[in-house]
Amino acid sequence: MKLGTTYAVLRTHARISDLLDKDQMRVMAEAPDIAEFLVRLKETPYGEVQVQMDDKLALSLEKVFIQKFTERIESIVKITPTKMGEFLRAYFDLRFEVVNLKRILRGKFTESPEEEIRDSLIPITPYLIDSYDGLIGAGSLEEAVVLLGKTPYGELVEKLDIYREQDALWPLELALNHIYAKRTMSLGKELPPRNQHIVDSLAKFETDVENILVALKRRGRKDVDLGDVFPVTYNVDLEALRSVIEAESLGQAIDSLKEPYRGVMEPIKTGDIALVRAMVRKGKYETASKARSGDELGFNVILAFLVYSEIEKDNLVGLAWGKVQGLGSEELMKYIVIPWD
Amino acid sequence: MSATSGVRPTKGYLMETKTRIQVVERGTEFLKLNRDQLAKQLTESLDVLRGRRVLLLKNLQEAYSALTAAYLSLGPTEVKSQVRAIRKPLTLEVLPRSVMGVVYPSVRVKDKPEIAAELDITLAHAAEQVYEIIEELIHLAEFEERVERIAQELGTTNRKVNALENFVIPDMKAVIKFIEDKLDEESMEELVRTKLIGGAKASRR
Repeated sequence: MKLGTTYAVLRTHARISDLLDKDQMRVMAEAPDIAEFLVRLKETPYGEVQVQMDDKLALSLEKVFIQKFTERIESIVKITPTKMGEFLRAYFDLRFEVVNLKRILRGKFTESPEEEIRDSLIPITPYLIDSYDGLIGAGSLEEAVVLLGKTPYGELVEKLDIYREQDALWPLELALNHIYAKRTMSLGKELPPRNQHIVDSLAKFETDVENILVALKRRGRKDVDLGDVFPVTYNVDLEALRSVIEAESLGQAIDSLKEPYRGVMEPIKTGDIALVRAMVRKGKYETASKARSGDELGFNVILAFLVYSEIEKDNLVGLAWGKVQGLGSEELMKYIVIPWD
Repeated sequence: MSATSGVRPTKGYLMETKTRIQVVERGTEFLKLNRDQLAKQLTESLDVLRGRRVLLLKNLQEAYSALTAAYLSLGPTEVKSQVRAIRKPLTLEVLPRSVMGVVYPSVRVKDKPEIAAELDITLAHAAEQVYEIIEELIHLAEFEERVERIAQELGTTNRKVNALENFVIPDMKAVIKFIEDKLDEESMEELVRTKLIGGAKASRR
């Protein structure tokens, strides 16, 4: 049932208070083992989780948290006015679909068994294509890409030449990133003008960060075709990306960036590269929070809630994996972003 | 059984034994030199090995942390999926090499694993560190095998030197003394016999 924005926003405000705060997350992180972690999880809005205590426990828990997150999206979309609801579905489902397509392509690339590929997918209803079965069952990666030719992912077919030439997956993966970025931006344009800013900010921030990370990985290489690798750029243009690639040192490459990107990439200078992902999440959190504070009764609140939920999902997935591995809370908390307190 | 049992107390055998003891003594000297060199090599190698192990442990901890961080940042399914895009297994070639006559296996990386996907930067970093560790582990294993074989060779050479110095050479010296004593005894007997015969002949006349 679609109701007005105000109703959806009010319901969302109530849900934001259901998110796990810093203390609750710390209690989870301090669980001595995974069994206790599950006991503590039971005390949260997640409730009791039914999983097999086998060697795939971390993977099963990841699926549970993803499932809970998609349910949250679904419940929010249901009560959100049509245009906004469509955008939210597109924003998250498209992202998940792109992740799924990458996983299918990687599986086909290495000729993994169909069951293994299927098992690695995020359990969502396909968004822009009818079914993943045809792709999973394709005889080869090229065949799978050709099957995508008549879908909104048709751009991938053009990348087959570079794929063959390089015998590498990255041209196809980057093309998927770009399809996601462009489509999100164009979907955002259909929203009422006052809601476009948060979408713009989030999508541009994500794309720019991913571009910088791709550039950092190619630092020192002379053969980078900037047009091929970065077909979509926003606040960090091709010149800036070229500077990153041509920088003599990592420090110099990062210092050449403007804020907020320099701050996000700062951990790389100290060698703690993995902290970048936490910083990216933090950046998204800050972007969403800023937009939310400017309009506490609008669409921004709904999108911010979903951004927070996604961060919470990522945190819980990380914590669960860490507990299965027997990691201590300090080590875990370092990579967990829990800014809402 | 004594060293002199079954020995022919002849001049020919004495000459032969003296030549043999010279060769054995020269060989012993050579083995001693070899032993000293092996001991020197072993001491140096053990110092290097200790240093390398400490370094490896440190790098191993760093690589483990990087991998842990990648799992925490991306989640286990995404890590598994991205790792699937690493093609070509690590292929090694093992060739024999020799140091001071000690043969040990030398390992060379023939084919490196190839990352064909656009790995996330956290995973790319972890993969880089893990690969460095694998290379270090290979070199360390090669070095450990080398040290072990040098130590084995040192033990063997030491036993050979001890056997030569404490048993073979003293036994040969005992044989030489035995033959010389025997030959002296025989020549004394011969002299006495000659004198007695000479005395008897003179008294008959």
